[in-house]
Amino acid sequence: MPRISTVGYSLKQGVKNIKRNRMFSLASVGTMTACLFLFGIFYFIVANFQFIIKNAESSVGVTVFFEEGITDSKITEIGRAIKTRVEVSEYKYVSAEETWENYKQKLSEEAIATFGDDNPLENSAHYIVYLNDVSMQDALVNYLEDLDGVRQVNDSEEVAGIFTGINRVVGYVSAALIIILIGVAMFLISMTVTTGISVRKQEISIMKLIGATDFFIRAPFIVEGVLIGTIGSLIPLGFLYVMYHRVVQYITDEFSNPYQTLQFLDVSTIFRTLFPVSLALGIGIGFLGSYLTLGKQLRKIN
Amino acid sequence: MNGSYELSSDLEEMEAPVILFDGVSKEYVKGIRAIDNISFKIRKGEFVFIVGSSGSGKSTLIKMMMREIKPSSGRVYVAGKELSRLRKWQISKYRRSIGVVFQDFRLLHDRNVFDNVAFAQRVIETPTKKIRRQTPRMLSIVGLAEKHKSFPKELSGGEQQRVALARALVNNPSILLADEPTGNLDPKNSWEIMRLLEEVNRRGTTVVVVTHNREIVDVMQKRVITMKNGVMISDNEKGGYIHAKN
Repeated sequence: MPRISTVGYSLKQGVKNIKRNRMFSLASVGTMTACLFLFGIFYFIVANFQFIIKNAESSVGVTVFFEEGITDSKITEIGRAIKTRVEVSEYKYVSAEETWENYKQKLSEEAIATFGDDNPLENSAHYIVYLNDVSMQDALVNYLEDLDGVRQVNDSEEVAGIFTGINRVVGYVSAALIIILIGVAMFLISMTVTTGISVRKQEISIMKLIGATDFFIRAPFIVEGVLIGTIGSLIPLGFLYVMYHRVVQYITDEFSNPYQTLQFLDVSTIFRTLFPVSLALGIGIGFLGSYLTLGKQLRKIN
Repeated sequence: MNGSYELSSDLEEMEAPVILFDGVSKEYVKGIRAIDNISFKIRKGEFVFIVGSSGSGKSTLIKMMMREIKPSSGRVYVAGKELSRLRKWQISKYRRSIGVVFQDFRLLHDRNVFDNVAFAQRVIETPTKKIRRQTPRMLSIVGLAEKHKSFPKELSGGEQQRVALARALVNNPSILLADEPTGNLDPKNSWEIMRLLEEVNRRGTTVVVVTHNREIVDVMQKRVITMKNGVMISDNEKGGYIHAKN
């Protein structure tokens, strides 16, 4: 366990390293800021896209039609069976009369008059089932088709396929982008630490000769990396907070419509995830970048 | 002069050697020996000069004592520990028992005199209170109390070497290794440093000095180990500088 004075000394030396190595430190903080800023923008897009998709998914329903002459108790039983499924977010019963009333809105007065008091959709009572996740549609449809009393199940396979595909592509692209950004940021931190070590080569050599432990020699460089990572993540988070707030406000004001088709996640929901993830990324990249470089560089110094 | 000591009988002596080289050889390049089958022992509290021309192997001996390098064959013991067997984490602990002074002083130029001496204590995690107490005391021993705020570039060569000496001694090492400590100094400053080393030795520290300075070796009449082409050619208890003929 290091002494408090040693921890204080390491922190002080870490800050000194950054000052002494000003240009490289600024470049590292700048790159880290740019990387995490891009990451933040990307996260805004992905999170909101998924939010919009989720909303759209919830409007994609599966329709369950019953066999002719089915009893009310059997319909209730099927409803209970639907309710037990985890993939179901909501379901509602639509009677044959309601179906005909809804359909009538699409027909002309003359066309409606030809039916008189008859209900041509007499056998069209059904359940509309909404899903939590559209990718689970197949499993639910298979289950529903096997239920006793069910005549037909209509799904929206194409829509489900498109949404699942988009979700997958967004996931892959975001993973690839994050990996590239992490790589670039780690390279820069590594360059900064390497320069710091070469500037302090004599000091490190003296430290080794007079009995400094490995921890004591490494700690200031780790502090340097972590500080660069922390600063490099807090700056873009500040920018992103202000920017997101304003952009969402602007879009909502300018493009609002009564159907609320454009809905965005609010800033606190976004930052509940983005803040800890960005900070952890910044600190993690700073720590790893310096730690991995140290082992290699310090071996070169006697 | 070469050969092996009977280690068991040596350790049984009343004053066990604080440094023991037992048949030590070093090959930096295969087949070419920088030092060849060197054996000697240095007892606690001794003052020893190691002399010889460039390339004679003096620096290799010092580097081995500091555990910067390992012998290719043979064994080096310091304070009873065989240095080749020290693990990486033990080396730093071992080096705390040794003070080192170099010809080029190796001071930190961005720190003042006080901070250079404090640095040696900070490195071994000495509490700050103790550092504040010990540093001025050590600076007054080497006669630099007044210049504690000066930076190395503001000091003469002799003063810089005294700072290096204060840094080497501030952690109370049992052994002081000095590699050409007067190499960059004028005669007056060289004698000041040697007087300080003698004083340090009088207080009980074992001192090993590698030097070219014939006058100092001749006048001080201490033990002299002479090296030539990697071989120890003499070990005189109270001798002068022997010029080895090629």
